[in-house]
Amino acid sequence: MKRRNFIWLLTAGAGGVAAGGYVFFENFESLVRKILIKDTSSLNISAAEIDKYLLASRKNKSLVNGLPFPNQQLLKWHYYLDNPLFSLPYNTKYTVDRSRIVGDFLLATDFFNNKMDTKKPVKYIDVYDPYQKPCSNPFSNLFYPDA
Amino acid sequence: MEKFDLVLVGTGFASSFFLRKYLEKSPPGNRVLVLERGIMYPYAERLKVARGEQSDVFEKRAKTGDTFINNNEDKVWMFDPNFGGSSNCWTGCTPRFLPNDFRIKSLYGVGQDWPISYDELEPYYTQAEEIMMIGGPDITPFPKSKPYSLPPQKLSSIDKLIQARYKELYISQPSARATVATGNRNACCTSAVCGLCPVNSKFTIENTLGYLYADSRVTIRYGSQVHHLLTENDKIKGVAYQYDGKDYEVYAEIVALGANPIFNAHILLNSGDTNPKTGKGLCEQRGTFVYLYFKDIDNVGGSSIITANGYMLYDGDHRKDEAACIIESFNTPFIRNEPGKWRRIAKLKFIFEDLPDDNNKIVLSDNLLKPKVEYTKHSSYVDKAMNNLKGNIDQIFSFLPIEKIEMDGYFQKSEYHICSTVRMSNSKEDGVVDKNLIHHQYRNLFVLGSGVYPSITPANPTLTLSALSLMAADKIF
Repeated sequence: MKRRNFIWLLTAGAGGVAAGGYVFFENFESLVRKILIKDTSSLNISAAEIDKYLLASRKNKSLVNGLPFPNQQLLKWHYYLDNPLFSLPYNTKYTVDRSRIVGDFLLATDFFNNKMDTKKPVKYIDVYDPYQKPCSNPFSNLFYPDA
Repeated sequence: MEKFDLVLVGTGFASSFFLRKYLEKSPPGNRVLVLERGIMYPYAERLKVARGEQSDVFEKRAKTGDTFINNNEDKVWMFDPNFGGSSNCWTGCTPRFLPNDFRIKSLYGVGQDWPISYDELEPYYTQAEEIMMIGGPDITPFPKSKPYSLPPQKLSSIDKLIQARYKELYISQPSARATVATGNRNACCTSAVCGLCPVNSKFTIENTLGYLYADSRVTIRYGSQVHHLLTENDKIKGVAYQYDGKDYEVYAEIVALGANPIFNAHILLNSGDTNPKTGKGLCEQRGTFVYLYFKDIDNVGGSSIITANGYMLYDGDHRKDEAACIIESFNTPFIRNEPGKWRRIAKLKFIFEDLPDDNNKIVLSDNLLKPKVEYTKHSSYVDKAMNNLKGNIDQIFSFLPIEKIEMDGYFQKSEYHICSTVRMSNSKEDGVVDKNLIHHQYRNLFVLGSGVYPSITPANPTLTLSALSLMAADKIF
């Protein structure tokens, strides 16, 4: 192997290790913030509302601090590596967990209580916890008696 | 040594329904001793913990993982070893078994028939449903002699479409989550965290049958783990138990084991039970989640954690080759992460029956108080059904405007339904207890619970085991 190729390989390898390390060790809350901003971009919602939720999550039960470590890693690697041509294995699990993250956030807002009205500004209310606030499943017959 | 007319082991569904019928039929002077290995960990204290508040009782409870040995990380076994047993953590799903579930060997050539028929058990199903105040629909895939006590749960918009297509094969799930307030229970308000109901709507032993343990005939001792039976020839003389590190013995005219199938088998094995089937056949259903994504229908208006049951893949000739399957429609607040389609999704669980296999078993360990679970694998009967699931889903839901289907493709680690370690049979060669749940050899010993199931069906086992306990006590006393 030529010296130049060796140096290129070494640099690429070191870059890969650094990028992998970043993904592995990235603060999960930071990833959640990126996901929430991206996946709710079609809604009338400000980043400040997301930050209120993240702040409250530090003190309460939520998926930000309650998702098991393997699930967190799965989310991270899929988030950074998946693209239109390639997806890592366990895509269904990833999709479900990402939906759970976004759902957990939206349940903490007034979005579902407003019947998913995209014109209304979305406001953070409180971390969703049926033990603090029972009877609050926004999709149930209590909220849709005529469904 | 103390002597009792009845010594009852455990305070879960199996024990409590047996005790209820026993007290109903026995004279005022009878004496009953109930030995509960766990503590009284009341609902109010459980709720405190769920709310993040301090509970002095929490750390004193018996902890599931400390009670037995399981080296298989892929298959876990869930239960609550405290007063009321798994009534504290169940979700309140109470479908009956189907008549054909009791004769799958005769009809489909697999598994083992039950020594009783659906018709024999039917009056006790009705009694158990009345005690639990079950809510359910008028039309069901199983015959009923009386309507349910409470109205059914409300179906979601998607459930209604499926029911319109499949009629009695897709029903509002019969449930012990009270649809209107009854007794000490509030009306269910669809919080969808039924393992511990935030409004005390779900039937538990504590909120409905707790009074049994205050009966003047009954003495209950907590923290008392029975480890073996005192035998004399073919008779049980009494039980040996440990309390606070010390061993005690009591005499009994009759003993009823109402611990769960792991511990009932363990107590028998510790007692030198020589029946070749004791401990063997450990079995549980296997469940997997599937998500249906819809083009233009929101899935809203359903009830609590599980709103409906589907029977489209349950009974029929396919059971000759592959496991029966029951479908559960969930109504937890899940979403689809796509703007404008947030709730255009259904979450279904497909739950397969398994066939008891003698290689999956409970054995003794070095610790007198701890059974060891040796579970190798589920049967190929389950795998065949799983392999055909995608095709079956495509077929049965083809009438719905489905955009895509996503399948977990793997089984959940537990269905919370431990079964078949002390199966019932007509002869001692084929099982441990007879049709009245009396041990084939020890004729003053009842063995209760889902451990007696010769076949497990895909349906939730709690209602059936409760009905069996009522029947056993009713026939004998």
